[in-house]
Amino acid sequence: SWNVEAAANSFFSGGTGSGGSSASKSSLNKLFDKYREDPTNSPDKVNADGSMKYLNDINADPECLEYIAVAEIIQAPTVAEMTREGFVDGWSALGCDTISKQKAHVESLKRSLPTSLEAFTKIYKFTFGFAKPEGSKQVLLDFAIAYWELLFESPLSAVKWTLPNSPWSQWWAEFLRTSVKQSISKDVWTETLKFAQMTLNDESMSFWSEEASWPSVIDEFVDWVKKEKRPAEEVVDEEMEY
Amino acid sequence: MKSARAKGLHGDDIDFENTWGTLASAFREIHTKNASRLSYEELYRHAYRVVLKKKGEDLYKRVLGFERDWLSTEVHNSIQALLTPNLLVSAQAVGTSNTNERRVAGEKFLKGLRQAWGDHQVCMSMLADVLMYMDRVYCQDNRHPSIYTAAMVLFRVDILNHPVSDTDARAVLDLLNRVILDQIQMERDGDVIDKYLIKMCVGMLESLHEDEAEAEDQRLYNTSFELEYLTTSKEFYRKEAEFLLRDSDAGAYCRHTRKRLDQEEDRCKSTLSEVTTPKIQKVVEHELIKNRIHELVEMESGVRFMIDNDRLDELELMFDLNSRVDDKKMELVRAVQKRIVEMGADVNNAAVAASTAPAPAPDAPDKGKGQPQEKNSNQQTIAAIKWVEDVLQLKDKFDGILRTSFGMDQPLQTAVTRSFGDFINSVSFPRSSEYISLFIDENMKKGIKNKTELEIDAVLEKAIVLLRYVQDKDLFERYYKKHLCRRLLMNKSISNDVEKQMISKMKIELGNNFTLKLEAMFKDMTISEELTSGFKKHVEGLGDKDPKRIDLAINVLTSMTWPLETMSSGDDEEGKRTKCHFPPALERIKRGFEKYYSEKHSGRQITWLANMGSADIKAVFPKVPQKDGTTKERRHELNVSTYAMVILLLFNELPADQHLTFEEIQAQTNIPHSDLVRNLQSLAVAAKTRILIKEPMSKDVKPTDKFFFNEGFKGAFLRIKVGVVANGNKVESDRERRETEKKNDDSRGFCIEAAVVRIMKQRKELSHQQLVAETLNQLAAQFKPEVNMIKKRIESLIEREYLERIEGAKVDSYRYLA
Repeated sequence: SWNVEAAANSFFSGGTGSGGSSASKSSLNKLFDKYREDPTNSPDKVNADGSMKYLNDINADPECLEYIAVAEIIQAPTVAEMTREGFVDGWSALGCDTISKQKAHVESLKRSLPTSLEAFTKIYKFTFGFAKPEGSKQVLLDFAIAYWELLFESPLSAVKWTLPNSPWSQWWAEFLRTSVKQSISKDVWTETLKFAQMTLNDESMSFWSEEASWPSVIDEFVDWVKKEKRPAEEVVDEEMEY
Repeated sequence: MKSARAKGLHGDDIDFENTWGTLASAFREIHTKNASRLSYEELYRHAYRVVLKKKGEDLYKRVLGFERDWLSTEVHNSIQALLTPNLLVSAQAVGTSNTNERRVAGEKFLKGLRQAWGDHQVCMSMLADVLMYMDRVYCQDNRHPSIYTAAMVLFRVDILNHPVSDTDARAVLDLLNRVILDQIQMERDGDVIDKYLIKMCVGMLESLHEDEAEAEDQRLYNTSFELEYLTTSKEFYRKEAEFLLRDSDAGAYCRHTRKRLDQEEDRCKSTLSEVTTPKIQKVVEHELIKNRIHELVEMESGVRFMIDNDRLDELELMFDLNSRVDDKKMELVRAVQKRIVEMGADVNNAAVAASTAPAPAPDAPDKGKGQPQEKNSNQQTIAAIKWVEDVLQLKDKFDGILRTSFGMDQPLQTAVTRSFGDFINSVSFPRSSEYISLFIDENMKKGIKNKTELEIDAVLEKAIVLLRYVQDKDLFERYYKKHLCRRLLMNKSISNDVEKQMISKMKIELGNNFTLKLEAMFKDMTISEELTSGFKKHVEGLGDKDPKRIDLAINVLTSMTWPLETMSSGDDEEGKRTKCHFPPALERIKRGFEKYYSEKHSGRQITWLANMGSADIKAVFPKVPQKDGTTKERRHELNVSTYAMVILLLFNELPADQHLTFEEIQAQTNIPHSDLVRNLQSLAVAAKTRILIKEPMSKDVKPTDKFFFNEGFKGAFLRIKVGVVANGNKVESDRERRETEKKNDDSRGFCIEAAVVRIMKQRKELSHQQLVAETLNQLAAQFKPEVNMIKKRIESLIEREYLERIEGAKVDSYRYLA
């Protein structure tokens, strides 16, 4: 039989069917209002102070990976900022319309993140937009390095980019600081995750080939690792060059 | 008689033993060659009757028994009589015994055996005639071989397979094989042997079979002799190859091998059997060629030596031998390629050495700063031209080898072409494009003087030949434009027609796109001529002729077409945009032309490039005492650069005893510093064109230097050309080359991006590998981009959102974003 009422409700509350009810949205709106610093001039935005307070309330450390996870949920445009739309839509989709529910969700995230590659990939991709200045297509190198460190070295990370003999993430940062690159493109950002995952499965980087489509900065990194970090293995090659 | 016959035919009382006795004695007569007394008809009737009386089987067995007896006693004994100790020496000892004696003994044995075989055949065919009815009735009914055939088998069994003697277990057949092999070996060593005799014995072996089945492939010749022949030949040629490689040179080795192949073919025809021809050829080819070709090619006197010493006939042999064992002629190809690349590298290195050798010391210290440099650049140009000639000479050499020795074989042609490409485009020799362009430049300026059309065409063709090898056509185009630019603007080209001929040759070779800009340069020149004459008419039409009027010849160059930066002095960026202050007389005519031009082509902007012009000026030097005591007034026509003219005109207004400092000249003319220095060096330092006097007199020009007009100047000729240091097409310095290459790389970047976008626009989605391959393909006619460069351009296009990666694709792929 047709449940017309339910379908209509679902339609009017956002049309996705899985979206929260209008009731939960209104409570989320009220919750958002609490953190606003300047309700008159920017009624739909929360800045640094409110964000910090909010993170504290839901027990999310702004210096840890769970913060990025939360930022992804509420589609925060950039660090220490929240928008009403993102906040309400994000949490209502998860059915978390109270602080305690959100806190519980953060707790469950902390438990599940280290093993969920899918969730991590989503967060990783979100981070590029989150880290870049508005209107720019690139992330400044210093920011990129900082976020990579957070993403690849956090205890919560599903892709901990380091091996006993190959501290990849540290090498990556070290290499980037010596390179002439000033900023990171979205393509490099995306490909780096792919590259990181492959190096974890194949420490010798035998998967790498100059013929493949890796961005040149990754090609240069491979070269750099071979020369700087594993010189012994490179002796033969060098001899051939001379 | 009639009744007796009837009785004989129908009675059972035939006495078989009696009849056989008659037949046997007749057979003995036949075998002892006394058959003439016998009556064939009578004998036939006896045999006929025996068979008729169903005694065919008995008769058949008796005949065979008789033959066995005969063979193993009479014939065997006669063969025994042929055996001499000489013949029986073991194979190992063959080498030590006297060849001649062995040959004679061998021939005697062969003759005896052939005789026995021949006799056996003759006798048996006579017997077969007598026994015809037995063959037809008994043998056919009982499926027995004919008596002739059965008797032939007996020869194999009782003679050939029989041991040589009680003490020597070897079969006669083995001995026969050995004797034939021994004879052949003698022939291989240069003796003359009785080929016909051996052929007869081989014939015997060919008509006998290994067993009763008599299968075609079981001929005794094939199962016995031929096998041994091939084995011993293999061993012989293996050793011979070893010996030849050690004691002979490669050419002799080739000739010898060829001779051996021919000999073996002849031997099969004349001495053995032609069925052996392909087999023995293969053995020789295997042992003398296939197993040795690498060593042979690599011998000191091998392919390299043959190439270096133009041993065309030996190379042809080498080619022939290698083709016999390998369709691809890998060893020869490899050796030829190696030599081309080596010789090419020598040519390249010689060019580098010649161009970097220290310049000869200037003969006089006061020749001016420019002199040694000029010489150096000449030396470099000479190196460039020599390089082109050397490469062409190398090409002629290998063309000759291809034609004469390799029969224009396709794989070798390809290999030669590839190797020329390899060294011409060698990473360690980045000068090919420049050198070829310089070669053309030199010929356009001087080389083609006094040459016939045919000769000129040959010169141009040479350049085209080399150009075909050049991978980076874009770099060549850059150099060609640069050199052509100077030729045209400085009027250095001897013949416009030849220039255009060259362009049309390049058009055919490299396509329209390549020559588009070059043709545009010629078009500019033509238009400029029209403008010059048009302007002259225009000025004349303005009214009164001004005796002091300046004639203007002008070249209007489209800025994107001409590589004008190559015309500036090079070391100062400032020079390009600063405007020189012309004296009023010049300024007037300049404005006049600008007005004239803008009326013809409104909206176009003219930028004056004073650094590129020249001027003819008439100079009068006053009556002052000369060194030789005369005081005549002297007139000279000076050909100077535009800048030099501007400088000299300053002194027109200046009393003779007054001077201008460098700084004053610079302030008044606004000529860029380095151009000013060079022009003042030409006017005040160079010995023969010292129209100004510099104080203090020194080579270097300093800001505080003072300049006076040289009233006492005296030139040897009416017309004096004041050269400016360093102007002419010459080989680039390393720094210049790096700049040219960088410029080239930049423009390659655009080409690559354009190609990638073109491809993706059409294909929408494409894997990384395919995209790279297609890009390389599209650009192949222009240059060969590095894969890394393509990758960077793709990356940049992703960043600018022309492309995106297809997420989750099996192989790395891109999508075009419209």
